Amino acid sequence: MNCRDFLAAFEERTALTETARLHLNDCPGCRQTTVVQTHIWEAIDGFPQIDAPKNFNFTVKARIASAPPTNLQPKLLPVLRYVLPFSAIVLVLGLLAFNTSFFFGENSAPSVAQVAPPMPIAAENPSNNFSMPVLPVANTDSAQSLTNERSFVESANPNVKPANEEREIKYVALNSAKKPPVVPRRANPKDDSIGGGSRVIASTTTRVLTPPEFSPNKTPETLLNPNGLPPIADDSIWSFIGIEIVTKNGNRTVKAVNPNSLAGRADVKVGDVVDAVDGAKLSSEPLSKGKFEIKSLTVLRGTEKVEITFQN
Amino acid sequence: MALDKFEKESAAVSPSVVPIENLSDHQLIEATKGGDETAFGEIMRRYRNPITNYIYRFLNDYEEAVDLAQESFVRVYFALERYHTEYAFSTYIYRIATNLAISEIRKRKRRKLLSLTGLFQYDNEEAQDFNPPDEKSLPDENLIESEQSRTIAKAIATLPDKYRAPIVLRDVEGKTYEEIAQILELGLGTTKSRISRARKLLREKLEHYF
Repeated sequence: MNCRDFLAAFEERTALTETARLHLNDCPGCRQTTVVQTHIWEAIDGFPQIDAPKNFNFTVKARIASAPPTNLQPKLLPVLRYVLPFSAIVLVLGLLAFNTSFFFGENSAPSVAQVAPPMPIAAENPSNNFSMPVLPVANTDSAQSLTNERSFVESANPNVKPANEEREIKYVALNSAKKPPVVPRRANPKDDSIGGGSRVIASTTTRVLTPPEFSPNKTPETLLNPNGLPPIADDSIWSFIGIEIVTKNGNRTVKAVNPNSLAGRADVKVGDVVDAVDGAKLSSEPLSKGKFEIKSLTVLRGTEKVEITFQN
Repeated sequence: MALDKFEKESAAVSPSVVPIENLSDHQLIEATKGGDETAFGEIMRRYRNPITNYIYRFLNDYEEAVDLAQESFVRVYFALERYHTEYAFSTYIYRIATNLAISEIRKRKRRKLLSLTGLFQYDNEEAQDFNPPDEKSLPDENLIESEQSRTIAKAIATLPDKYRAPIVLRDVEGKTYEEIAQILELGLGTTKSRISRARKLLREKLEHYF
């Protein structure tokens, strides 16, 4: 038995067990503690009983009689006891209902998708003839959500041509959008708008998805190659169909395949060596195409040559 | 004939008339709610001495103890409608008395009496509350305590509030741990721990005395 257990047993003021007695004999600290505590208890037990004065009851009754009227307290307290929780519940429910209608109702606050400008679709600009095939979506829920998203975008912007009809989404270069000229404040001293040109920029900046090769600062002329087609880099084409290519000794070998991509669904495998695209044999020069669209790949898988056709 | 009438009357009355001393606390409370002042007098008769004794041991001040004991009964009287019988009445009134005593101690601490303590205090002295001991002789002969008892009573009165109430209830009033836990609205483990800690503090204060 340790000192702590001994003290716990001792403070119960019951007869000590044999183990506690042995500990008491061996531990001078606990012996001293028990001596002091026993003296204290003896003194406390000898405390005289303090009685109330003889006029105690009379004084209490006099104080009760002279106490101010407390009619308000007993009547008001039960009312408050029920009214306050009820009011709190009503308040909470009201707030919940307001929030629900605010976020999810018909007149709810605009969501991020609504605030963001819709992706321009490009029937507006026939000069851009590069296109992206619409990926087949296997998951029904995803397809449904995609359809919802399109209808949502179309409803947000009635000028957008429905994408479902053409089964393709075309990108538009930012420079094709008619952007109002940004006039610096110094260059146009007659402009008395506060903040100079920054407000004009802020009000006309739109978020448009563009291919990596397109820069908003470039003009259409600098983007077009001599054939009139925008050059699309080798890596962009591969990443578009969902494979990563590593070039070794002039051979383009598939290093990784995204299983949810065109290539993944068409069973392109890691280690395949790309030999031809759409029937055109590849050279050591970087692949350059006017479209993202690729219909087939010819790959060397081991010793055999495999023709892979992409299903849109 | 007259004897028959007396027997009939006594037979009719005796089962329903119970001496008020035999009624339980809850029955007395119910009677008081019904407007029976005698019932409340009986409650006071039962508890005035224990409550006065308890507060006196808590504060070590007889006049204040009597005043707070009376205040406890006044509060009980005005709160009878809110009293629920799931707890013993003794627990209820001890709780009220404890809260009043603790409030009184806090009031005393707030009463800094700056004019008395601040003016004659040197910078290197630790600030102390003005809490003069009650030097008046107690009104009854049986209140005359030995020197040892007075020393221990003073030592108890210097314990922190949260330790003072449990040790007085346990070692002076002889309440059980469960009753103390209910009075102080604490858990059983916390109650035991505070009692143990209070005893340790008391031993440390009185170690050199014995």
